[in-house]
Amino acid sequence: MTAAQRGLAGPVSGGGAAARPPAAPLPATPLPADSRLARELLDGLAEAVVTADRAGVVTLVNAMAGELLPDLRPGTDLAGCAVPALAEAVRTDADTFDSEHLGRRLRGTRRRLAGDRCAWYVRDVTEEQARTDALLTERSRTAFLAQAGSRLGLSLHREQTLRATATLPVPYLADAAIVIHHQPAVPQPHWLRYADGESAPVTGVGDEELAGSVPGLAEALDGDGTEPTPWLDAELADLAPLLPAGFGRPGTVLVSPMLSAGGPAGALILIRHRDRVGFDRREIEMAREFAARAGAALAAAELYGEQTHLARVLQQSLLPPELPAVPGVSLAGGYRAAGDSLRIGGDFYEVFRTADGAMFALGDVCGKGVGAAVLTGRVRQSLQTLRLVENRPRELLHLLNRALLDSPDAARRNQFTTLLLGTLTGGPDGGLRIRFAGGGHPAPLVARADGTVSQVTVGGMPIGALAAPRFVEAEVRLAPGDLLLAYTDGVTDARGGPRDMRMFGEERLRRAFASAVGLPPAVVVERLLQLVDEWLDGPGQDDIAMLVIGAAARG
Amino acid sequence: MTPLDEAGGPGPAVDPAVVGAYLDCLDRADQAGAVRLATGLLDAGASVADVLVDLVAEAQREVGRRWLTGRWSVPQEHAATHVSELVVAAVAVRAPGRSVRGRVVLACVEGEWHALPARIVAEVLRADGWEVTFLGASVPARHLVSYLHQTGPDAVLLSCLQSTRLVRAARMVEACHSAGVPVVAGGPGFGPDGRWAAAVGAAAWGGSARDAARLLRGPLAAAPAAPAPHDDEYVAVLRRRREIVRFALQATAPADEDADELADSVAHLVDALAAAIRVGDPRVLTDFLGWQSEVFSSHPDGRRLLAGVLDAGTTALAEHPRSGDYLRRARQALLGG
Repeated sequence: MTAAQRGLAGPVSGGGAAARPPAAPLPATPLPADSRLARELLDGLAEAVVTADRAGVVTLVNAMAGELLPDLRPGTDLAGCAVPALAEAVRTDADTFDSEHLGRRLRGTRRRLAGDRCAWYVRDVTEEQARTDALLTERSRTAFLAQAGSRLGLSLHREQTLRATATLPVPYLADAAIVIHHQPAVPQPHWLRYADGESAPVTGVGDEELAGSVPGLAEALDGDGTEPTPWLDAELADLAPLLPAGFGRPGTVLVSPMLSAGGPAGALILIRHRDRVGFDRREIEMAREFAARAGAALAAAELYGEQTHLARVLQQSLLPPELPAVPGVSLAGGYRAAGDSLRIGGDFYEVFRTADGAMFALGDVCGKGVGAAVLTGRVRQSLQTLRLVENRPRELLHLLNRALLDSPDAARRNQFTTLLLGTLTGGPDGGLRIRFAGGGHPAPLVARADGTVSQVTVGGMPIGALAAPRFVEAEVRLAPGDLLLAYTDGVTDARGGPRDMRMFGEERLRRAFASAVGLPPAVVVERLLQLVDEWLDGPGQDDIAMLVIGAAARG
Repeated sequence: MTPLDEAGGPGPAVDPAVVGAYLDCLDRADQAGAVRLATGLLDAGASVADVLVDLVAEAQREVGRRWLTGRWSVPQEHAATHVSELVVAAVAVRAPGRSVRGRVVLACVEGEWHALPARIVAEVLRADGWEVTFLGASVPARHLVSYLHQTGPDAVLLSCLQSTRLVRAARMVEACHSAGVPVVAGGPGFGPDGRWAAAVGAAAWGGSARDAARLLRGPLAAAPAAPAPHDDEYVAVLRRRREIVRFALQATAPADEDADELADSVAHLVDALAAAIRVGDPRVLTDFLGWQSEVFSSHPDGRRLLAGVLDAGTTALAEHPRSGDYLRRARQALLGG
């Protein structure tokens, strides 16, 4: 009984929240015993009111109930009435229902009345719902485009952009998405598909008739948008092989051009299952906008791809070479480019086999970046050619100097190169004889097997700067266990250190080199690179190159 | 053998005695002998993962122990590692990869020069059917990013052995995310059981090459959102790295011949502190110091120096509350009181 009384006390109109805490009972004002007044009050309500007796049979309906729930009359059994959601609520003893009925959105709340009776208050929430739906749709649309924008903006790689384009609209916009795109110089269209439930996009190549056989595809590839079309078996048979095996017969197809500043980059085909409603105006707009963003992203990725391809070709020709195996010689080179994403710069090294051993070169072109890299390429190429006609280091330096000075616009560029050239020949004691010629390069270091380190004074002038330079020759012998280190000034000039910004310096390099005696050259190089890297503790300002050479057991 | 078998299999497949024989080869810097042992196992039917994980990586763990306990010198350790690198290369040549799965890029965190574990992972993954690009030791973040945009791999595997590199690891993970590529972290640098991997934004963590193969077969979040750093105090700490080193040297006044080494130690301590703040766990610092204290303990004046360095750091970073808190905790854990 108390429950029933509390139920009576809480207002239902307004928010209609049954959970609202019951207000304090009003002071009992006697109601007039006027059934006409009661009827007028009921019919004046904006809510439908339906009361039922303890058996669940309707006893009373108000005017609004006649409008919203015309099937309910006094005498109707609620549990079997023509409003399925209400009937279900009554059967399961639920206090609320929410349903679409006769084109209206209805929300009903039950209140228990005295004597085991009850009343259903039903509100028409159609407009409210429509506004909420519109807001949610707008929100999800904004969220989708924002997510799409950020995902498409992440990658500068063509394949990844294509994958993102096919996966993003599924399942939000369609059940399957196919991107049609052209690879350079290939007439057949390539496609990339992603359908709901697939773990990753699938790719393939279509035949040349594909564009002509899908309605709207040829237009889209030319940059024009068309209306969505229902799936027509006859016309779209060419698209069927592009769909996953278990996809079933599609419903609607929407083709959008993937536009970019440079023209159409491809087309996006969105496909919905037959049981899903077609694309509405808003969704078509969204698909168009998405496809346009994807097109712009694809164009950016293609442009980046072309640029990096160029850079990579240049890079490939400039990266340190794999060193040849030279009998009786153990050697290793190391290279770190300055903080440049191209990883190319002005330092280089080369090792060539000769009839009686090998020739090495270690150089440093002044300047940084692509400008220095181009000159580096020229120096290396000249060196490779000239060594075929001259293998005495000092004479080769002179030839190289002439070649560089003779090259077009050499004077204008005013660039020079420091270079250390050396020839290696094996001695009868298992050691090595090294003849150097220096072009203004830092002096190489020799570490003896006992750990003492000394400098080999070479000197000379930089090449490519003067018409009559002076080059100097020097010679050193390496016994088994001795090591030679040739390096560029990026090593000693590296600025950093844990305490204050200072140069790595030759003294530190000598100590490190001395401590590495007894190790294979590859390990020495790695150890020295690591020390300089730690010293820098971040990107360096200059390239670093080094060569370590030792005598090795023959065979 | 299917690719699935390559990385599978329970437990070590290599006899401990063979590992012992292999270590003897490393001790003698006997390249040919080590290569013969490894390729012999391949001939006897062992998989690439068996040889690289249960022989080479297992032996490398022992090399690390011998170096840490002072049994082997740094040059000895380097020479042994070099032999193992040659062994990995020889095994790789013997087992040509079939790339059927996808493309991954492997890199060591900038400043991380221990490349052997990553090289092992690279070869195990190659044998497991991946197209693998190994970018080598200490890869600068911008080189990695430019490489990602050129090749568009399915995932990046980032190797880190020292927790002092976590701040850089975090920057590299961030850079990979901004290129839309998920990162699998690997190695003890990401903490015991990889507990700090999530804090720097990695999608997953593995402790071995087999883990890496297993993780890559599962789904990886396409472009997971990197968690915001716990606290940006680490930026300020790193900016003051040199200042703190100078201050600590002044406060402890070490002998001249020790100054350079102590300066390096303090610089690494600052890195560890910054890493601890970056992942929000003081244990990065305490673990680092626990390991450092062994180095210090060999020095007659070691305890005083370490205490002095920690106090100097606390003073120098007085206006950074978290740093002070972490340093005090580390001092307590290490030296008591």
